[in-house]
Amino acid sequence: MDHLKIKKRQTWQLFSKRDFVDLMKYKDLLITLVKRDVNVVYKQSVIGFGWAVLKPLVQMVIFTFLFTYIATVEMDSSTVPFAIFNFVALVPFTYFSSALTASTSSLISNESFITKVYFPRVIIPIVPIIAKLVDFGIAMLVLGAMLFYYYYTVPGSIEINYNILYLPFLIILLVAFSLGISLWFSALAIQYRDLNQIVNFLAQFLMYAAPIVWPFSRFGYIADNIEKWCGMKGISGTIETIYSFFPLAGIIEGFRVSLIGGSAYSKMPTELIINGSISTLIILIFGLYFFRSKESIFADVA
Amino acid sequence: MENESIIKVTGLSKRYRIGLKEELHDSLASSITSFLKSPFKSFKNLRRLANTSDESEDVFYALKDINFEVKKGEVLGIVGMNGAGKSTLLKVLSRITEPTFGEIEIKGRVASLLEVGTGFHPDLTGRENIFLNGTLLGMSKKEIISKMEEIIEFSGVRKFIDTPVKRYSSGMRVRLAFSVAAHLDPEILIIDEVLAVGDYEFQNKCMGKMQDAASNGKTVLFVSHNLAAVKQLCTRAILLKNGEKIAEGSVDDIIDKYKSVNKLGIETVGKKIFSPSDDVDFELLELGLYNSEGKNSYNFEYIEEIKIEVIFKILKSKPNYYIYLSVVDQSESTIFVTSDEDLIDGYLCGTLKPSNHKYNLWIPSKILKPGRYAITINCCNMFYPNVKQYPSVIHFEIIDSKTSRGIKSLYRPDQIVAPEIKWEFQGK
Repeated sequence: MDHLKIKKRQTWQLFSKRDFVDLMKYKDLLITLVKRDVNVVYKQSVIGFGWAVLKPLVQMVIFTFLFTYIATVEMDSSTVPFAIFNFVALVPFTYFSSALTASTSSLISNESFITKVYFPRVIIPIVPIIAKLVDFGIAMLVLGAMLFYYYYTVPGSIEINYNILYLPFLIILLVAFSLGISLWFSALAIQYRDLNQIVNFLAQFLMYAAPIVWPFSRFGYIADNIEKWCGMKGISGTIETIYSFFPLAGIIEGFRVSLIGGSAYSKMPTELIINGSISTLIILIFGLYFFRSKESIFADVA
Repeated sequence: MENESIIKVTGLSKRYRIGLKEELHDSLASSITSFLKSPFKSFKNLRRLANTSDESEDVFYALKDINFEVKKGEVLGIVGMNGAGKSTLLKVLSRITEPTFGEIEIKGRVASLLEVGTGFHPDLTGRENIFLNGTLLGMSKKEIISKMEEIIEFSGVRKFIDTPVKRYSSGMRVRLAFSVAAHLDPEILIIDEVLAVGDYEFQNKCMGKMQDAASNGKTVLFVSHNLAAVKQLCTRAILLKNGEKIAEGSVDDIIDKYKSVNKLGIETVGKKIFSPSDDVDFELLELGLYNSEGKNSYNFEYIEEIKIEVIFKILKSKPNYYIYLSVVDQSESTIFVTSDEDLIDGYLCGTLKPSNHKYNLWIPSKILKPGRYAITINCCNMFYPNVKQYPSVIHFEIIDSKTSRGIKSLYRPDQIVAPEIKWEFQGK
């Protein structure tokens, strides 16, 4: 028979066996909520899942126009069209930003659950992380179609090789990073609603901070410029090291190497990916602890 | 096993922080500085929301050192006025919020219904919402699939089960939601009174379901203001006031105690005294309800006669005046009207001399079915408009803890009264 003890949790006993038992018991809730989110997003809309394709596509068209005709960016290789260079990066980034935005506000929008029933709260921010994978999958299909198109029409632009095997790991890293940040943000947002605004700025900032509209090979040049601007000698190396721990950099460069290949993207940026994985793991584990420690007050502050 | 305590609450306290008074500014300069400082202040306040560890003036106890035990198969009522801490107690018991001090031990699967239809999404169909609501209440997918047919049948919305819930009427939505909740199969059921919203039929369905659960040996915790419901369902009760448990015992004792603790003016105990004003010809001075023992009361048994005392003042004799009382139920429909014409053949009050007078009248037993009622009193002239009207001056409640007749009448909401009819069997 179930035996349950309810008392104030001490901060040092954040996880117990019971938490995992509970989580297993409520796995059907997680599945149902994901289904709900997937079903509901495009209900009563004309093109439905077409939006999942259109969002990154429109952005890509805008960027391609902007960065080929207005402000030119020095590219890694003249053979890779800007459109494909950009879209390969936009697909994972769109997933990250939409999952993060939805997850940050998830506890607030599901407030009625939190104040009326018990279930492991961590399910709530996980739901959008999984649900947005559907959009991501659709966008990936479009990306695949685009790669095929360029492969046949622009010879030498795409050269897929064994590096594509890295792709599953890169996607796992992307999901883990999105979840890690979301755990922090959602737990904070229920108490400090400012996070809902901050997350919009952050997504915009990260869009330019990540190598989406500029090639990662230009980062050395950017770091030198920052050094000059700060007026501090010899910090460009430090900036580069710090930047390598930014998971999106490794993920996006990794996507390019796996999917575009060719002479410009022949070598997997392993250092970037390893450093990114380390920071992702730290963010995720501490995120889980942070969420857990805040969990007990959700119903009181919601 | 029978006498084992299934829920054990020891030293339970819950603290909340309440908002302090806002500052008021009398100068532009001070409001500007305060505007600039406000982010820091808001941050401090928001941070403090979650921190209840210090004893400052804005910390308040929603629950204070609560101890009680519930044995297996018991139906425990939790009564108390608004703000007594009933809902907080249920929230802590159902693990929605954490206690500040103390602990609770629970043995068995708990289902708590603090609200029906939690998590219903308007864009999803009835069937999809059954899954959503069911998993949220802790059922597994397998369990829901196996009970799906029963749930749909019980809800009575089979025709619309694949229609989005937003196209449902509110009644259909509630029926579907309750149907899901009714098919939970826990060992311990925690129910909040808020369940008892909705139409009469639905309320009765809830009550019936709870009675079923209780008679099947389940442990039930039931929170309510509705003393009649508590009396019908519960075997034992605890009384909360301002977050503290002030009594525990048999239902009757607790209900008596509750009544004596919460003397909310005279009306609630079944007597109302009016302050006189001399500008009308008729003045109601006092209206009181008395039970069969002659005690002033406001809740009566179904099998009990209710005595009504009307004390009034006539300032000017006027023929053709009469007094009438109407008994109305909760949905404002009149059950019956009675006037002093019943006393003699004519209107007595019109012939009375200017002075204070008193009428006694009795509502017979076994007529009104269990529920809440109000009495309205009027003094009228047969040929002129109303002289004085007292809308819903006194409320009372009929309960039935002695027979099953009165309760059974609740299952037929279309039945307005529950009179005992003489039957005779003529066998061959």
